[in-house]
Amino acid sequence: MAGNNREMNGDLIRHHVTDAQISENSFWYPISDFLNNIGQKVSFLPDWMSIPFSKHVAMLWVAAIFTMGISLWATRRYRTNKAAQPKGISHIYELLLEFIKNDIIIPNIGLKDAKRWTPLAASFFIFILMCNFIGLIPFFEKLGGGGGATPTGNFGVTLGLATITFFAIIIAGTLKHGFIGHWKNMIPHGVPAPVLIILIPIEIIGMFVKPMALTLRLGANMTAGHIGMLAIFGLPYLIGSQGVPSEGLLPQPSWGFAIIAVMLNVGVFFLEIIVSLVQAYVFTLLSSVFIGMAIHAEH
Amino acid sequence: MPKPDTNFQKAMSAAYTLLGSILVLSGLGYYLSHKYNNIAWLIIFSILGIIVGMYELYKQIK
Repeated sequence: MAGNNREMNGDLIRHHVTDAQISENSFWYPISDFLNNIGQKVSFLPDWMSIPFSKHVAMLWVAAIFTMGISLWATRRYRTNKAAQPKGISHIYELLLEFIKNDIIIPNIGLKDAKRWTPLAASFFIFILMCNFIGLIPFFEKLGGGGGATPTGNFGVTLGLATITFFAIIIAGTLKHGFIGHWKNMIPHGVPAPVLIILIPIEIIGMFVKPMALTLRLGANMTAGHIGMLAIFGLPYLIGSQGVPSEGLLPQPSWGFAIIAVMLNVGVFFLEIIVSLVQAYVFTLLSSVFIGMAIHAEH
Repeated sequence: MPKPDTNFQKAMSAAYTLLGSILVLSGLGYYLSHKYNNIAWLIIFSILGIIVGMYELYKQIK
């Protein structure tokens, strides 16, 4: 009987972390269905490449709207007056942009190219942070169906973000050294020809592995937090009475452990807030380091 | 304004690149070894992951 509860917890975790469509009996289903139909009509992609309107897609739209909305709202004074005094949210936004520019972009990319790459890094940071925070608000679980976890826990989303970094690395190198110069930089100078035979394939593999590492790290870290929290919530059911389904008796949690689980998860939730900030920072930092390496290629 | 700790950033990015390379290529090797039912894929890709990771680590810290 213990197996039943274990399977139940496993299903619950899978249900929460995997992407899902908004369920048909949900209040929000007509909106989701309407957007899905529009998407199918305007899409020029073949069926197997189409992206149906799922919960993670909805979360990405919300995160994108929030990112643009906050950015426009916080910088509204500066668009009319460059010397305007920051007020309210503009203070926080200015601090954030200063931090990204001075602590991430300038040390890794350099002062000369900072103006070109700060917008991309800032967009990465704020968008990923919004996505991570949306996953911490348990609202999307209420739309019916599963997939209430963060969209940055979906490897498709992180792969999309890493693809932007992949092309940014190539564009940065091409703008600095020219198209041929960028690819020539991948061949180390002053190395004997037999060693080159080994080094060139390693460089090519490294070019693809760097964005893939970004994909896995962000996706795995964000999913791990949600799995951990649900596993802790499942603990009282594993320890409690298993119930007798044939007699209609439902499993009962161990209430003592339930209190401990809630207390533990409050702590884990605050840890998740820090993880959300750190992961957004690390993605932005690593993207900047890789772009900087393409700009300051020494060999 | 305090100077950013670039050594910390370098150490963090180097560590993530090393681990990432090993994990990505070992994962690919694991998938191929399951698909073709041959453990050699896992061994070859794991070694390749270590080599690529070490090379990227060297490039970042030199």
